[in-house]
Amino acid sequence: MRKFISLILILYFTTVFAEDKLGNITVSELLDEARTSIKRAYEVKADKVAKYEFFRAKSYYELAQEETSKLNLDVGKAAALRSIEWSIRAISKAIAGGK
Amino acid sequence: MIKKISYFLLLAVFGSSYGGYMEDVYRKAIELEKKEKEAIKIKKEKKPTVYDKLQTKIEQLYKKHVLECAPEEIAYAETYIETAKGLPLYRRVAKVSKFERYRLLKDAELKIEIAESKIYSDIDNDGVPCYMEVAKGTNPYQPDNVVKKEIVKEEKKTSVKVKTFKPLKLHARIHFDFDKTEIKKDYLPYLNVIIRYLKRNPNIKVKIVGYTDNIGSKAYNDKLALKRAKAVKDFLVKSGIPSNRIEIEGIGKAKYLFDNKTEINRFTNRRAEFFIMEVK
Repeated sequence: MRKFISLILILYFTTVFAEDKLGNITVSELLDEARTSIKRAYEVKADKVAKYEFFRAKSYYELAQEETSKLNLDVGKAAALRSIEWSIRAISKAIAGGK
Repeated sequence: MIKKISYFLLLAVFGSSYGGYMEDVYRKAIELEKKEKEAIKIKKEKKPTVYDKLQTKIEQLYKKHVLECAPEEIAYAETYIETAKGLPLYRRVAKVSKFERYRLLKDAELKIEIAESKIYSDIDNDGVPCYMEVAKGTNPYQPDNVVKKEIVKEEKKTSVKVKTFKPLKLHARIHFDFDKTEIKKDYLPYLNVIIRYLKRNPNIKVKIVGYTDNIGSKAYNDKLALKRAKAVKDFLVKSGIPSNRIEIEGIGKAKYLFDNKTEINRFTNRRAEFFIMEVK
């Protein structure tokens, strides 16, 4: 029983600390990162080769900006993260020649 | 005394019958409530939500090559719908307000309408709508005459054999964890595509170049880069590609794709790339 309780406690605290680490990133940092990653995608011509991915990234970035300006920080963070994710996809697709 | 006993008996009989009656009423009420709940459940299940409607519309558009004809509009529409549903953030879901959700869904509808109109429009004014051109395999942004001329030009070009050192025209990049040479499971599908491509084209020789990020000494990173390239080569050899068709090279602390300021950039720089070396 003791072992079981200690295992649960360890699991709980590790997840809590992990979330804390991620939670420390501010919205403005994420927005900054999203903007630079979109810029990088544009530089490798993802707006022509990987249009869908590029515009997904751009739309998420615009939404993140909008929601952050309304102080809906959670949605702002989530949208900025998504934007980064999509711009990475756009970059890798553009570098691979659109395939 | 007899009067008291008779009163008591009367009360007991009346009470028991009244109790039984009330029990029946209570049971019937519970049954009715259950039936009503079930009816509401069925109603809820049958009614498609706004999201379902929009999703089916998008699926229909995908069948008509919306990705080629209106990528911007469909990208925006999907983003709006996903945000309206709620975006995952760590272990919870970040939701927008009711008003915002309504506005996003309306915007998504508008974007879908624009995408639909773009599918049926003739962008290059050659008389063929966009979705039909994509289905045929022609470029929807160029009139058909121009495409034919380009094809003739390309045929002339391909008749001359060119020996060049160019990147493989496939998704041919694999990234590694920090100080690791193991191939991540995520990249196995890409590697399998490359293996199939190499098996289909036995004339092609391939060069695998390993790269690292900027952490650590130059000598160590050179070794690590070579190890990464070797790991990919070993995987290809195991999958049936002869080793004499594969060359490896390790370039440590050089030729970065991005600056090494963030973890994402460093991860992007820790990679192995494929290059076509020789076409016999």
